[in-house]
Amino acid sequence: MDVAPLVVTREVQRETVDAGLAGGYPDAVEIQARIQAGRIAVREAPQLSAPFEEVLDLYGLQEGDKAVTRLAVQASDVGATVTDDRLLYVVLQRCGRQACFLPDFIERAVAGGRLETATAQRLLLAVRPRLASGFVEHSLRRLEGVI
Amino acid sequence: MAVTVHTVVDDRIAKYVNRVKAHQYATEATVLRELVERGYDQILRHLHDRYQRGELTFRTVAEELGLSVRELYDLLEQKGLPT
Repeated sequence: MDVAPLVVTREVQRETVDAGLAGGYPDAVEIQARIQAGRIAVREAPQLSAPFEEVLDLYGLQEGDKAVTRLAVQASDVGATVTDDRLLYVVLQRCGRQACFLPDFIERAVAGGRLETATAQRLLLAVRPRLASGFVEHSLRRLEGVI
Repeated sequence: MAVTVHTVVDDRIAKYVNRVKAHQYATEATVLRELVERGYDQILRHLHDRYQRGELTFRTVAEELGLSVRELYDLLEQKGLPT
């Protein structure tokens, strides 16, 4: 998580930390500690113009999705949004913002020298059961340098 | 957590429940619970398919099922479905 400065929206904080602490999830404690230490920034994302908001509604986005999109569209210092959500990925790309899947984010950290290949491979293997077939394997093969 | 629900079912469903009950020596409640579970599972898989195809966001699937994002992650993990 420390491979790049991270920013989350207030909604994501509520979903991960507030709901996570209430449900007894250990990762919620870790994320909260990182937020309190300033290693993860939490930002409010103001509404976009009325036509833009209407488009987000037409995509069927929920409030949390809209907040992520608003932040990506408005924050000039956000380089890319990490998501494994296909629709959100497409919406962000169509808004002209960079989006990447978690395996791509891990690969970029290796490419930038911020993460060792072996650690990246372990991380990818750990998230493999959660991702659709092909996503993790694609990154693993690239890290191996065979494709 | 389980909740008790009292409901009226259609005659066709009652006939099916009676038939399965007799065949499997199960209680009416067990057969009905299985039916509801299978229906719920079908709805979940349908929404999950749509999510995988990029038609719905993960949060929309959670909303449709009346779950939080955390609860949906847990449910999909339990079912061995990718997120």
